[in-house]
Amino acid sequence: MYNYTGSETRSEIANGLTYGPVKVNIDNGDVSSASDWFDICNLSSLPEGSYVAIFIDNSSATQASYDALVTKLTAKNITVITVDDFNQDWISPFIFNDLSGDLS
Amino acid sequence: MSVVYVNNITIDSGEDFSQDFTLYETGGKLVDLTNYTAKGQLRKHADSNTAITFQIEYVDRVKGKIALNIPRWTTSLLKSGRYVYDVMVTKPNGNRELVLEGTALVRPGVSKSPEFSSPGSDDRTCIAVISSSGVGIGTTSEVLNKWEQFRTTFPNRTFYLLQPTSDGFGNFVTETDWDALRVPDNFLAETTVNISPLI
Repeated sequence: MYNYTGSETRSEIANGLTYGPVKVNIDNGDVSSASDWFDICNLSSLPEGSYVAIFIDNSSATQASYDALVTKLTAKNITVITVDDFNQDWISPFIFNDLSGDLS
Repeated sequence: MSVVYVNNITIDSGEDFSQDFTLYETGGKLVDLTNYTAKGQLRKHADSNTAITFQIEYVDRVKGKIALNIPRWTTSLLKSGRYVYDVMVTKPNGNRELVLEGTALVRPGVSKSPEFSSPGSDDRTCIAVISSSGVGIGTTSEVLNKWEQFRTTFPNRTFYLLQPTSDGFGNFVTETDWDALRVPDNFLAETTVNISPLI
C-alpha cells in the first residue's frame, strides 16, 4: 500500500475529483451524532436535476447521516441512486452501473 | 402499528410523478407523522443493487398524508416496464416500519423534450461509505485495477470515499485507515484527504 510519510499534502497532486478517505461519524441512527455528508461532499454546488450515487456497506451505522443527506438532496431536486450489496467493494458499483436512472 | 398498504402505481416516463397517500394505524386511526422521517425507493427487482429514491413530501403530518414524487428528468430516464417500490418510516424513537409497498408500472413517454436533459452520467457524483474492513473488495492488485478501470471509464466523475469511525468527523485519516479500506495507490495519487473544510 501507499508509503505515506505523514508529512505530505495530498492535495498538491490531487485531481480535484477524488476525495478521501474522509472520516465521518458512526451515528447508529442518532440524529445528534450524524455527520453532514451534504456539506462534506460539497453537494450544494450540484445543479437541480443532478444525480448522486451512493454506496453504503453498513447502513445501520450511518442511518441518520444518510437520512439527512437524502432530505437535503431531494429538497434540491437531486436524485439519489442507492447502490448496495457489493460486499464491501466500494469501487465496482460505480463501474458496473451507468447511474443514469436505468435500474436494470 | 401502521398498516402496510399495497398500492400499485403508474409512472409515465418523461412526466413528473406525484401521488398522495394517507397512512393509517391498525384500527383505522390516522398515523400522526409528526417528527417521523420517511424514505421510499424504487427498484427494478427487490434484490436489485440500484434504486431511485423518492422525494417525499409531508403534505399533512398530523393527518398522515405524504406524497411520493419523482421529477420528470428522472422518469424520462426510466425504461418502461415493471418495478417494485416501498416506503419505510422512522419513528421518533428510532423504530422503523414499512408502511407502503407495491409495483410501479413505468409507461413510455410519447414525446421527449430537451428540457428533460440533466447533467450527464459522465459527470455523476459518487459517494462510497464503508466502515468495515474492505476485505471484500479483493487483493491489492485487484483494487488497483478496479480504480484504474473506474477512472478510465469515468474520468470526470467526482468520487468521495467516506469512512465512518468511532473517532469520527474532523479527525485525520492515516495510513492505517486507508490500508483498512484497501485504498489503492492510484486512488491515493489523485485524492484529496483532510481537506480544509473538514478539520
